[in-house]
Amino acid sequence: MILSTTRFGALSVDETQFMEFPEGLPGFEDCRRFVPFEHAECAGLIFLQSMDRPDLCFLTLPVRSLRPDYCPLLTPEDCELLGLPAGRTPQIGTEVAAMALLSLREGQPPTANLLSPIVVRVATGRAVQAIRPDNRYGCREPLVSEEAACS
Amino acid sequence: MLVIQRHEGQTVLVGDDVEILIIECGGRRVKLGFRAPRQVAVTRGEVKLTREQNLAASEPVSPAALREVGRRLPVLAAGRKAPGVAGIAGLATRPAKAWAVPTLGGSSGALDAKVVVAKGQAAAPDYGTSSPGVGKP
Repeated sequence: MILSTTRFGALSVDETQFMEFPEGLPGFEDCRRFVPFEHAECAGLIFLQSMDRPDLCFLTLPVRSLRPDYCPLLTPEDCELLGLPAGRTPQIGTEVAAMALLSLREGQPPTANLLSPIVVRVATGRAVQAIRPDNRYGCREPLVSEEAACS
Repeated sequence: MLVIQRHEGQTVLVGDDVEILIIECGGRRVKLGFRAPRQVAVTRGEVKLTREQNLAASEPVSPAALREVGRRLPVLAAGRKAPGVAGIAGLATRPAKAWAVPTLGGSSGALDAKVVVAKGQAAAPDYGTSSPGVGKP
């Protein structure tokens, strides 16, 4: 199908390959379907283009490209939405993919939201924004951790 | 800020309609119950933080800011080689039928999505940089 977007113009997308957020995202509860793609000019970044709002396109990075040891923490509600058994951490890479939304503001260093990563179940495309129940990470983390930057 | 000490089983009232019950106090966490009218939203503080951050992240990105993150990406490449992080968040290992992350801009052409050129105009993203390949599937 052809998707009209503000940033990229008309996009031809495979409508079977979208991510579906059954409850949307906080602040965007009505935006349930997003198409992920990379762009050759910024390889590594993943754009999440809303299928419901042409002007809504998030920028993300895989959480483990930001913090190699990152593990998403899913609440029982998150697991239910994803159709995964509760109480077990799903495997990143095989079962789920996890991405952090980036915030890029001119004049400020870019930050990543590691408090609430996007977690998508690979087999089904079902996705949630999984807000961590702990306070290990913040919602405005620098792209490179301080430990990594110093070593 | 008003600070009140309470024991398990005791309550706090906010206005006439909102009641907060201290159900259980553990060493590191507290379990609370809320009784409130339907129209009063009760959410975790992190949900509000996430909402605000999502709204900030949804703002159009300036070319300069995008260049800045592009400059930092090589630094991040090391992390991407971590175990279980092949390709996009490890999606290279997904089952063949699962969804995938296509690439725009001409390089790998791995998947189906590509920029469709409308009326002969290249659908370049507004990066403020040249975009060879974009719009030329």
